[in-house]
Amino acid sequence: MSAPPVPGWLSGTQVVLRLAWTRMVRGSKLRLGVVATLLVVGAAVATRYAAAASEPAQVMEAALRLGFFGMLAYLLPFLFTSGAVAEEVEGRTMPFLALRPSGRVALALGKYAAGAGMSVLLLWSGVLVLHVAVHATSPSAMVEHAPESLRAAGALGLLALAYSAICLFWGAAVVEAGWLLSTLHLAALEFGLGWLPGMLRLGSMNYLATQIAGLPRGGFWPEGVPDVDVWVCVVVVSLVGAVFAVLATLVLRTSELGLGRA
Amino acid sequence: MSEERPSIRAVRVSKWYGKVTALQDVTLQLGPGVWGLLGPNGSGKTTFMRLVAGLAKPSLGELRVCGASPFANPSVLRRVGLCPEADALYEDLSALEFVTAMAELSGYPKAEARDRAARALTDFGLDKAMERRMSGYSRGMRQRAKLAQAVVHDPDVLLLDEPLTGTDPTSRQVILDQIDRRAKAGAVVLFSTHVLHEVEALTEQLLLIARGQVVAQGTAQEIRDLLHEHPHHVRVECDRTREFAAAVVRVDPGLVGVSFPADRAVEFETRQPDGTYRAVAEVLVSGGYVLHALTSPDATLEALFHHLVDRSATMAGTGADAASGHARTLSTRGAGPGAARPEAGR
Repeated sequence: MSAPPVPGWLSGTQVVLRLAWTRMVRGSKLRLGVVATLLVVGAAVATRYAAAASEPAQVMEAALRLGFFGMLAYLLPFLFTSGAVAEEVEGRTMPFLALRPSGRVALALGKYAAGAGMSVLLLWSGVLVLHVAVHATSPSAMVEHAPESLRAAGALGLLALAYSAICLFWGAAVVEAGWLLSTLHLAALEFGLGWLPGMLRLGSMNYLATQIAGLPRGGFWPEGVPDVDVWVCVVVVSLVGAVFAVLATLVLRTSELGLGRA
Repeated sequence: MSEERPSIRAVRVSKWYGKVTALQDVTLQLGPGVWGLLGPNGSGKTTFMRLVAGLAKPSLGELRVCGASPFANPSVLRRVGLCPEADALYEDLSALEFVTAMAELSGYPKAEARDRAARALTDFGLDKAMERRMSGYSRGMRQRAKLAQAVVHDPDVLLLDEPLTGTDPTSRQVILDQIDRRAKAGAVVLFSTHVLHEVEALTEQLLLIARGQVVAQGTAQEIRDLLHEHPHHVRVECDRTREFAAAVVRVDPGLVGVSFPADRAVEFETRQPDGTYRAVAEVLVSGGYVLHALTSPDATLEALFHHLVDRSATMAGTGADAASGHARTLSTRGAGPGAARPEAGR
């Protein structure tokens, strides 16, 4: 008998990613995510063409603020990553992955990459379809406003990476209540802080991401919120995402993953 | 680089979940060959398997697999294969996709992983069904898919948690043949079950575990002798129960008690079950009784386990063996270098 060499974490991550991706594509969550994205895009496009007086740029901005940053940016990472660990534990399939020599770092990163990747893919596809549909009657406006949409897509992608890390962390740290804690985190710290005045609002990655996207400030007393450079927003959102991704990896690396129970 | 010989070594290993003790002070050493781990449900078999597979950490004690701690240790885990007890699989994948992914995670490049997966699935008789999604598999096919992923990387330590559950006779034979082949190739195979005859076809090396303790170790025959030794109940449901009971008492000197748990039932307590079964059969036939049921509520390993644990608890104050949680060796017959060596008590 000759055991194979210990696989590297990168190749292990690729396999976990592929496995998780295949299962997501064949499962019901992707359908739910696609339907949610289509609903947001559909509602925006309907508004654009049903109300004769509506400006394409205004529709685009409202759709991004309410539909994408206000809903899909929360929903999609939550859908694809908060249960990534819990489903393996509850489905009793975790031993298949956790006892492989590819290691638990690969498990964490693969799950993260699959969930975050799917979220980003849907968000970007949604923004692309929205942009094309809203500006369909004016090709010149479509080109002219493309940089704004690209900027929004970039901000949404960054936010989805951060939220996916947050959801993965809670799902790994408290397997039984990962869904609940992810919801509380996103609702209280992200959505809640995003409406508050003053410095408090800077604690919300969602708010920082809207600044990266170049959207005007909303919420209570917006003029009381200090100005922050876009590059600072990018660094902060990236750092928060990275910190939670590292924490999730550490938890998965050291935890018994619900297998230390009777 | 020379590798540590395949082995499992536990020194006073305990594991508890909150206030529940799942394993208590288990000490043993297993070398190459097939080892039967027998115990009733909830006795700690699965917990022990999880510890050896590096899925959980011992609360106390030291566990070494191939010379190193297995928890999240890739250099050990590449040599370990586990077929978990739970009937859980990735329903939306085909067996080939599943086992290929497991082989890749074990360190093989994709093409080789696929070849190995196909070979492992073929070995377990799934060659015609390997491309189908596992959601459509029967219980026996699912079991074989789980076994294929456990052996796809040719592990040195193979942990099989109730691998024959839900399998038909043909599947059983295929599975037993494969296990035997792995053991002959030098692997340590730990096979847990609560059914004695499942494992006795494979090995004479049995460990009995109950209430988290390894309570005995020996050959299948010695386990059977123990089964016969401990007080044994035979329940007969027939007509004219009192008259029947009186007749059996007259002809069976091995009886130690008789009771009537229901109107048409009599229960004999005996220390010589074979004699009692013979007496019951003779009286039934000679007296022309109408037999409704003949059962033995405790002619099972479970009853034996409880008997051993109760006995060890009684002996605890005397400093006797099993009460300490260490195995009571029934026999060292045939013990080679790979034998289980229950260590000395406290």
